[in-house]
Amino acid sequence: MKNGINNMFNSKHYVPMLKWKRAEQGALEVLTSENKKYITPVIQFVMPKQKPQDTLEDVVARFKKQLTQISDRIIEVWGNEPIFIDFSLLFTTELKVESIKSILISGHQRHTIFIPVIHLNDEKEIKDAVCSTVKETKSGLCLRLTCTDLLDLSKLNSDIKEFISGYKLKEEDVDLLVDVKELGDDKEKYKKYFNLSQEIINLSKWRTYIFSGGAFPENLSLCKIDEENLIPRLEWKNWKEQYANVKVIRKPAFSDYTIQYPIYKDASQFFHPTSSIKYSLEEEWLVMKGKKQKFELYLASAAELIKDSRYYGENFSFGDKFIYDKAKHFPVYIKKPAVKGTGSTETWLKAGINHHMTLVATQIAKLS
Amino acid sequence: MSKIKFIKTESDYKEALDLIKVLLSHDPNPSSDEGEQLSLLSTLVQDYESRSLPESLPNPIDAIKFRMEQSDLKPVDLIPYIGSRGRVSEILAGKRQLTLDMVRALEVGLGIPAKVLIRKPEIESNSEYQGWDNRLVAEMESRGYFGSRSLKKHSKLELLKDFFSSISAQPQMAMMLRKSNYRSSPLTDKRALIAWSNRVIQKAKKIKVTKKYKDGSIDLNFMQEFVKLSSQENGVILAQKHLKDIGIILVIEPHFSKTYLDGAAILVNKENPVIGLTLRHDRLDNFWFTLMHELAHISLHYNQDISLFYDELETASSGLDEKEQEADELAEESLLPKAKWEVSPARLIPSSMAANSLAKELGVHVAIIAGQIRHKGNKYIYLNKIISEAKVRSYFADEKWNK
Repeated sequence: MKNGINNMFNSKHYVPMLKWKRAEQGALEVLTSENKKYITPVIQFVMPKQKPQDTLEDVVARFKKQLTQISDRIIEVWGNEPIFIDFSLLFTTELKVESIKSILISGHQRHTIFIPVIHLNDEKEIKDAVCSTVKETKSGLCLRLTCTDLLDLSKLNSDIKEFISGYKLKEEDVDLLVDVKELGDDKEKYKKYFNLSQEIINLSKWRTYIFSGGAFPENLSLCKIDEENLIPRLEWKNWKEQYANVKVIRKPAFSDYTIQYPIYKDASQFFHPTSSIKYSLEEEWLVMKGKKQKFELYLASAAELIKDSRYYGENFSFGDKFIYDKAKHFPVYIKKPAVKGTGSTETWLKAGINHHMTLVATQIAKLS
Repeated sequence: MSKIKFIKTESDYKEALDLIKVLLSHDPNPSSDEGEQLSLLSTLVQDYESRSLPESLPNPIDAIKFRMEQSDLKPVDLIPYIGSRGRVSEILAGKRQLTLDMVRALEVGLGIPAKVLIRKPEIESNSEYQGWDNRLVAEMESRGYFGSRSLKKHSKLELLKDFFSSISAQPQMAMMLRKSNYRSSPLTDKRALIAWSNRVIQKAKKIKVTKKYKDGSIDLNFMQEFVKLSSQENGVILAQKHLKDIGIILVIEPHFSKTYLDGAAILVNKENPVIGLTLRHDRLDNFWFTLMHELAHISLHYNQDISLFYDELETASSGLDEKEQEADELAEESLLPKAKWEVSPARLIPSSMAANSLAKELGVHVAIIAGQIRHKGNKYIYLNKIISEAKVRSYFADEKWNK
């Protein structure tokens, strides 16, 4: 459990990977404190949506403009508990450096623990900014490794050694996040990289050890409106196996990408998602496929979902209550569509992510 | 004379028959206007029949002989209707044609319909049989309609005559065929439908039914409860048995090639109505919809002057006659009540989950609901998995199904 900076959490913990967008923020904000005990999110900043006439400078300027408010908003949705913050999706090194300094210091001044996430191949300026800032904030930092890093273990271990000693860090102050990102339907990928991660230098010494990945598909093109779509939550299934495996050197904390595809796509693309409900179950995601811009289908699917034995009930989470309320609105809507109240892509995403995080926190809590 | 017109359609034909009835009831003098009208109408009816209706019927002489046999009459007993003993003998020998007076007397006295009596004699009936498409007759042969007899050893005429005379009440058959309601494509060979229904009646006759059907037994409530049998493992067979228990015979007979017949309600013997289904589509949803449609005919049109409803249900719904629309509506209401459909999420999203929950709520097989969702929403590209997995022909393995 989270009892302070030197005693973050053990393997019975959940680290959801989230983009810092309104739906994700909303989903975090409405988590119960009981569930939050099992959760430490990684939030990844993304650039604001690029308008057609925007230059790169315009977008960067827009992000900078909101920099000062970000730490307050993080505290608003998450409180003062530790949270991982990843800057890697910001556009320029200069922006990353400025954001790191501004947000981390601002959080520190507000007595919160913002733990910066760093990559081995980050530019020196970024590493310098992070390491010098954490000396002040004493939050420690999170080292995020990807598949490419793990492919050459001896080089990886040597790079880690160099980084730790170069910045005069201790493994005890560093969280190790191994992120294999998309799993697709490759059932062996998780195991392969998990086994490789077990050979990382001084594995037992790191402050925490987190293993992440996500099997949620890039899009729902393979899902059908008229058939039940169940997508296996491979990362959960695999993690549970490793959690139960007594032979592993160190058991990792669980991490996933909730109900989203792990690879982030630039929001500037013109894209209308389908009005599909993505509902997490014990071992799978149930996708109730809708159609583009047919928001009323959310209501129809919700009305079906609450009748299904797999629905967790309106009291399970904010997301479930949202689904329930929308389902109850369906008979009103079907008689008088002008009343609207279908919910938007954002509110449905918020509900879906909130349900997912609640579910995983519950699953983790139940583990012996 | 203003009411008489050239007969082009089934409706014109029925109108002409009605007019003949009226004229006969006036007992007109042959040289009077009405007598001329009657004569002209008879000619027009015969002309239409020779063009449109296959002659699968007995000629007038056969009809008289059949009634004599049925009522144990001797030639002498026909004298009051035909005239002298010599005239009776000439008529029965086919040497003399029936006069209008004789037709009237035989219809009133012996109950032989005038429509049968005014038909042309045997030689022309034979030519009608000769007009049957050879491919159709060959298909009948391959289906075993002629028993062990084949076209190699027997003439088409002989086989067809025997096939149609196998139903004992041949004049009734004649009536029946004229009292048919066709919901079919103009391209459908009506002879194939007649052959099919004759076969269905043959099969029905072999089924022993102790219960007589009571008019009014079938209504919406009955149908809504009845369709719940579909949710059971062998619901199709249970349905057949349940119908038999209320005096309705359900017969399965595959459709003829180049016809699109789904089923028929046959009300020739009102004590035991027969429902014939072709199972043209090997799909449970089709089975139940067609069955409910035919039951709807029995429920709604039992006391109307129609003996046989032929239903090619995929015929475009626009322009359907009132009876067909009524039967469709009752069938749909029994399978998926409008009140449920109006507020169902399935109206918006044709998902398997929506189909399953609606089926569970109504206590019926999910394929029925899937079929209704596709039909009502005109969304035939959806729910194929549910539809294609729910088969029905396997329950009737004795039939020869095309692969």
